[in-house]
Amino acid sequence: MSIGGWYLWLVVAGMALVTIVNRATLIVFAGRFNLPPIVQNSLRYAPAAALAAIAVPELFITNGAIDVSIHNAKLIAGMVSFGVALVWRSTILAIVGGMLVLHALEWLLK
Amino acid sequence: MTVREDNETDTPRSALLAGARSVAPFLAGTIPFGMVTGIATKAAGLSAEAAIAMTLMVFAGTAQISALPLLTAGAPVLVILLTAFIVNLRFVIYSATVAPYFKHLPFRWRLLLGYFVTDTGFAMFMRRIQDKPDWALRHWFFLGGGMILAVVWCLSAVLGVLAGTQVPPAWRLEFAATLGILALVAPVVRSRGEFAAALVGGGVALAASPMPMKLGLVLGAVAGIVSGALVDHFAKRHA
Repeated sequence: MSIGGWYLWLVVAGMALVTIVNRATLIVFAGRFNLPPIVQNSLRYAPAAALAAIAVPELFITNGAIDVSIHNAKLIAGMVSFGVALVWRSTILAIVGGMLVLHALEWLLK
Repeated sequence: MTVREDNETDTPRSALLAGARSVAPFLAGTIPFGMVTGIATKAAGLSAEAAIAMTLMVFAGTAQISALPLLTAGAPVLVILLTAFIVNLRFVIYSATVAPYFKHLPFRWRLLLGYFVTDTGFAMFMRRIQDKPDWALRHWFFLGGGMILAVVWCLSAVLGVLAGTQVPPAWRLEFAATLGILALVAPVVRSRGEFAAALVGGGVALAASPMPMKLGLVLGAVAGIVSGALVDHFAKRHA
């Protein structure tokens, strides 16, 4: 399977633009306007909220339906991986551990 | 943090190098994260050229990894961009925090520094500026840190893309991107507010996942941010 064409390039160019807007706007217009404290405070929660919103459905949904069972290898692998990330604070260890659990479970449940 | 002699950081060149040195220990994290991003981008179904172009142009690993499952699912461009925007909102905070230190600089300098706003570079700059609030060469320090992070990031990601072309699809490496996102959640759920933001964000996104165009994702993110802010507000009132 391959992703390409105008769709991909639109996404890439758009993401580049969105990122530079996030990063640079307040520096470029330094002193001309400031964010109200309540907005600045709320923005602190954006990474946790957005990242969880992306990852959680990826773990629970298999073939278009929510699957909360021992047969959902992605869910279990994800939970183990998250635990590793919390305890050992190592991204690499969390990813490698999660992938090993995924393959072990898929092999066992086959 | 060691205190350096002032004469070591009194030319643009030495300030640039001091900035680069300050972020060096963190490259041990940048390199594997860049490689994982490259491998995951390739595994999501992009050609090697497109994956490399994406990495160099976007220069934001979290946003790129977050976009991959959406790209694979064929989500609308606007939803992907909105997701990238929300994931990168932390840069707005960094940008707002450092802006007062750069407001005297010409436009071109400010645009350049804006491009190099990164998690690590920001943290090291704030640490240094607390010791020397009136340092005239502080923008060179910021630039040095940002540049070295950008160069190492891009090289690692390109290496990851090239490694990714050698990996068979049966390895399911696209799932590594999801695990990568989860691993990024772990360090940002330290406070009660952040925990609520992640829990509500993930829960709402899952419950709303039948919504068309992956809009459940945006709904989840917004609900999570509001929950985090509310929990924080009430925790403060009862403290």
